Amino acid sequence: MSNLSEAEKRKILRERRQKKFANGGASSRLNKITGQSDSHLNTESPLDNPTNEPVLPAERKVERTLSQEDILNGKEPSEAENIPQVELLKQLASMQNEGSDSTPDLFSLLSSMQKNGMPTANGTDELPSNIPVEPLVDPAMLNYHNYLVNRLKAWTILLKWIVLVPFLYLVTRGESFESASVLGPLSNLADSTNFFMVFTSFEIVATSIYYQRLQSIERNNKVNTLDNNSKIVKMVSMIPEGLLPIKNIKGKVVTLLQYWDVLAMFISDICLVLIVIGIFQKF
Amino acid sequence: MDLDLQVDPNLHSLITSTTHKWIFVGGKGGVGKTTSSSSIAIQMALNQPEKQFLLISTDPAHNLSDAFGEKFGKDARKVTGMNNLSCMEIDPAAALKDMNDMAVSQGQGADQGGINDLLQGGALADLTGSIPGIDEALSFMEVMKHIKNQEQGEGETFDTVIFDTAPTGHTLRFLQLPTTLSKLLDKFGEITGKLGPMLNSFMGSGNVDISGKLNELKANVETIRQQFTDPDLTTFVCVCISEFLSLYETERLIQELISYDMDVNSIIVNQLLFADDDKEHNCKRCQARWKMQKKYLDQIGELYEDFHVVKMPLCAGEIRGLTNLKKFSHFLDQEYNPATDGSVIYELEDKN
Repeated sequence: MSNLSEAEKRKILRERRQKKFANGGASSRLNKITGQSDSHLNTESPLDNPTNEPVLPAERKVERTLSQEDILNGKEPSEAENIPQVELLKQLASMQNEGSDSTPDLFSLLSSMQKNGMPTANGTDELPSNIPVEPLVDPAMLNYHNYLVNRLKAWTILLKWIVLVPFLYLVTRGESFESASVLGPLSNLADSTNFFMVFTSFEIVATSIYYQRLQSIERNNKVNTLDNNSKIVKMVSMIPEGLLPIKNIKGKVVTLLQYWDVLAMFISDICLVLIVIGIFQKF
Repeated sequence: MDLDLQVDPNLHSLITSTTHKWIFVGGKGGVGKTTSSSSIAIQMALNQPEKQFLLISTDPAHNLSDAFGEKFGKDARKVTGMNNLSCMEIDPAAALKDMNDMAVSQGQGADQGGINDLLQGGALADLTGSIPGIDEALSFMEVMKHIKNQEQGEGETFDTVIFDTAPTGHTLRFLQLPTTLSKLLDKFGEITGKLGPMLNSFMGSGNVDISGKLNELKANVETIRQQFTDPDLTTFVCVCISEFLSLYETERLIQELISYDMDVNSIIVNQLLFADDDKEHNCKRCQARWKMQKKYLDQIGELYEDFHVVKMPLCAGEIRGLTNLKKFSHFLDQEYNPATDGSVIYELEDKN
């Protein structure tokens, strides 16, 4: 007789039982039970299949993302690095690691994210899809674009006046050429009764050509002139969506400004026409 | 040495154990779990009169009241005729209704209407009652309550709690709960460790300490998990009948329990006919069935040679009421001998 205590005996028996279930023993036991009864029941044992270990849905999700430790240690598995939630945790972790004992407040967190950008699933810095996105423009390209636009404007004005000044001269001094009949078919254009119709038609054609050329330049440079230069548009774009009961307020303001641009050109042309007519009448 | 390691075909060591705090009794449906758990509880209470025992039914289809022939509810109540054994039936519906009523009474006088009106019809109980696993969660809460009571010395304390569990699937979910909760709370801990200060700043300087509550819950769950995996404190008694499906499910249950690192060393095989020794009532059907039972008993003998395999007889009458249970439970402590104890199976009181 040995001097085994009850506890020791229980422990040895337990180890013996566990040994019988280890190393594929569990499945072979189930096989034995089912085999002797010609059963087709499952004989795969939870002990022989470690992957069967119950895993929480939440745990699975965390495994796919990134652990806190990994974040703090700077390990960045490629799959996890683009996940916004992880980015948020990263921001928090980095802010806490900066040595400040105080709790990072929401505003500093958000402003930090605004500065650094919030990576999306594509790895690019993007705003939510419902907000119109303006790609950032290189300042040098913007300057070049502005130069081209200004040059186009100058040429347009010059060409307009190259046409308009003689036309105005004809209209104001038309009677001196009537007898000479040098104008031929253009004599009707010089008729003062047709002036407004001719002038308006010319303005429409000239403005259309100008805008065609402007759009061509914008396309080539990939720059929207009004969006990048207009202070009004910049101010309007700062208004949060939903604050005013108007949808896409920035787009509407841009359209209004374009109409205003056309009208302004027309008005300035009329003003100059009046001045030139005045000068021609005087002298 | 080998002789020393021979395993008794009874539960004497468990019945006289002074260390076990949690004893689970489970198996396939209809194999006699309630009778077996009641018998273990009665034998333990009879063998250790100085200690207090509690038998809890976690099966949504409770049988304890029927087994003892007296009504038990959601609160522990002593079995008539035994001053150290109490029983209770965890009733998810009643517990949830209590919670609902509490919510309604707390809302009285504050805000008539709104959520209060909604709860009047027992909406909370209806809603939460349909959540899968709520039975197991409530049973788990009961375990936590008992541990807390024991730690704080409040309320009624019990030395050993015996669980009459639901059929296998429910029970496995229940036993998985500490591990699952532990993992879940670990993950929560990681998140609240970083977001905790921010969450607290959102919550303001109110009385809600999320991290504190979570840590407390985690500590409780961890205590339970440790106790459930300690073979000196917790064990599982499998109940089966000598048939293929029952044997198969018992084997699977044992393997699952081992995978949870839980101790399981006892198997009660119920409803055995022992027809060879019963010359008086030896019909052809009994012989055929006993032949089948013997085949599986042999298999059980081979598979579970290191287990306490207790062979229990099929009685002539129903095993209901304390007297019958006492008679029947005796064979858990002292194994049934068909040659000498055969008369007992016809001696049970008729409760009908």
